[in-house]
Amino acid sequence: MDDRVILLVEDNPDDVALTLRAFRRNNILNHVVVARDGVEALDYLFGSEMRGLPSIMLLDLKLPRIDGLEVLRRVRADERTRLMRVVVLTSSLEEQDLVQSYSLGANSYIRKPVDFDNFQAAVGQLGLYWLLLNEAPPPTRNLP
Amino acid sequence: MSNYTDRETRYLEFLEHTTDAYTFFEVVGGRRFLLEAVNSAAERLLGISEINCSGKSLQELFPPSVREQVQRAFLRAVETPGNSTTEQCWCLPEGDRWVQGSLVSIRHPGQVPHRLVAVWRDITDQKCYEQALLDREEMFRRLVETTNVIPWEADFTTRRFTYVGPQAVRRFGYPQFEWLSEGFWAKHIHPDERDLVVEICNRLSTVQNEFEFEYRMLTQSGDVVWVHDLVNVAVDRDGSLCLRGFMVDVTANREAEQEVRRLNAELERRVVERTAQLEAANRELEAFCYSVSHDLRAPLRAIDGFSKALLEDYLDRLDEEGRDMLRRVRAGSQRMGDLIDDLLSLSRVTRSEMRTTTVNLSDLAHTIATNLEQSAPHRRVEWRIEPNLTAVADRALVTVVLENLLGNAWKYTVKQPYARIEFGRENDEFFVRDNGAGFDPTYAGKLFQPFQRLHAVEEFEGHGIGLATVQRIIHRHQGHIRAEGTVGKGAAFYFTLSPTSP
Repeated sequence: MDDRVILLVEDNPDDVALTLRAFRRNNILNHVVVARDGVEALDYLFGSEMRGLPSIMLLDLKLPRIDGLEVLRRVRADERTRLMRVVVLTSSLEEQDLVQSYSLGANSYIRKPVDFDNFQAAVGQLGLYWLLLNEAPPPTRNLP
Repeated sequence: MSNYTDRETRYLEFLEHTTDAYTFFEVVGGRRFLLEAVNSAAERLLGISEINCSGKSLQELFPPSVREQVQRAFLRAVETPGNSTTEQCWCLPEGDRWVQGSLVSIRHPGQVPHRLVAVWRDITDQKCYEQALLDREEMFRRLVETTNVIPWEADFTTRRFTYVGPQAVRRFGYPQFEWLSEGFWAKHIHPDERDLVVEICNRLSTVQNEFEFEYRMLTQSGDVVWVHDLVNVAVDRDGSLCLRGFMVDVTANREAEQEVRRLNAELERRVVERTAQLEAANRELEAFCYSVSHDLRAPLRAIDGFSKALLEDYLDRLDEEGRDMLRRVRAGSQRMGDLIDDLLSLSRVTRSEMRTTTVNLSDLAHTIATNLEQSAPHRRVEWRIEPNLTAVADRALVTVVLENLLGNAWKYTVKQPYARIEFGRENDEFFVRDNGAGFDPTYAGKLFQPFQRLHAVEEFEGHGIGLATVQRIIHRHQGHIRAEGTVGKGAAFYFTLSPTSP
């Protein structure tokens, strides 16, 4: 099991609470770092502090300051995070968002369901697949 | 005859053979005229003979209308010395004759005239000829001078008009003599194109027999007249160039053309404006839908998620009524989530781009029927799907149409022991017909409005979006859809996917 940090980029505190709850109920016990907008997310990844890469980044698209698609673009443009796993987790089912996310190199695109049972199930499967079954790319050293 | 001298004989012979009618009168008292002698030509002209008529007065010789004219001329001839002439039209029994008379009064020196010789020449034929010429000239004059096309003639060497029709005076205001003055034409061409027009005219006149060109002239009051000039170049007998032609006032045409151009430009501008407005409205709609999709669902997720959390974490502190309430909260938020999704798909139907191909609707219907049967394997439904029905349509959109219509039929026949669902074609219309719950035809118009339902939610589930979506898709294909139904006796939906009338 990949027990590195999960980076959750989400500005809505309700969604943060529900996502954390869904992790817990699915026995995903990785440490979760929450970034409340794109700037915080990029700061965490490329800031001056020495940190390992998260095992996965869950990325909302509609974010204050720097939006999710821009975060994704910069993550894929940087040698250090080029191969990092990014799952877009959003409310939108607009075609343009789907197409753009995938063409910018998102690994998955999950739409947050309104029904919490479905949401919980989705988060569970996500954890099972990305943290347990899927072999992560070899860690790239995070050089500041 | 032998009594006459040679000279007299010659005179007599001349008189007898000339075609001019010689009449000799004795003048009595300067007022009365008595016939003395006539020659043969006069006998023929007047229908008299000398033997019977010598000594007779004018009254006895001529019919009254002729007599008065003759007498007047005679009196004048007597009063004026020397020769006089007169031209008269005589109404004679054998018809009107034009005669020209040469009158000579003869007098002894210092006395009143005692004799008057009148020589009459029949000029009727000449008169007719002249009249014909005059009539013809009049006809041509009317022809060229009564229409609005201005005739003109000009001498190329002096660059002067030698003739312009009176229309030119009326249209431009300059009097005729100005038109005929030197340099008039060039002087009154619009200054912006004067040199060019004169240059063109000069050049074409020397190389072509005929040409046309258009230019602007100024009227006396300063108005602009667009002239279409048709020019013919001819070499006159003396070898000089003569230009003739017609000027047509095409100002109205030119103005109409300009108006058409202006209207076109205006239309173009409006289309651009409207398109921009539509694009803006579309962008706004996009933004709105995006925001609905994102922002409206987030609070619903919180309502549902935290209700679920309450049910899980605080279950022991809630009685059955409290739990029921929370379940209703969850059901409500989930239902609203579905409604939002339906609304979004409805708007997506309008926004998505159309890609039309030939679609086999029968195959599509079979696929949908199979899916429906798999969703409820215990149901027994008779499907009647007419084979090989095709339409040129957007496959994705027309799939939505059939899914909705067949899905509705499936849904509303659930209580039928012998359910039957048909898909086929009647005349120009496709139809989906069932023997299910039907509907009250009074409310048929409400069927296609979003969120309008004719059945209670408990009876048949649904959001009232499906048929609104169907109608939008049909309209995007420029077709139409209508519904027929009776309560308890089933429903039928007829639609087309192209603009052909039913």
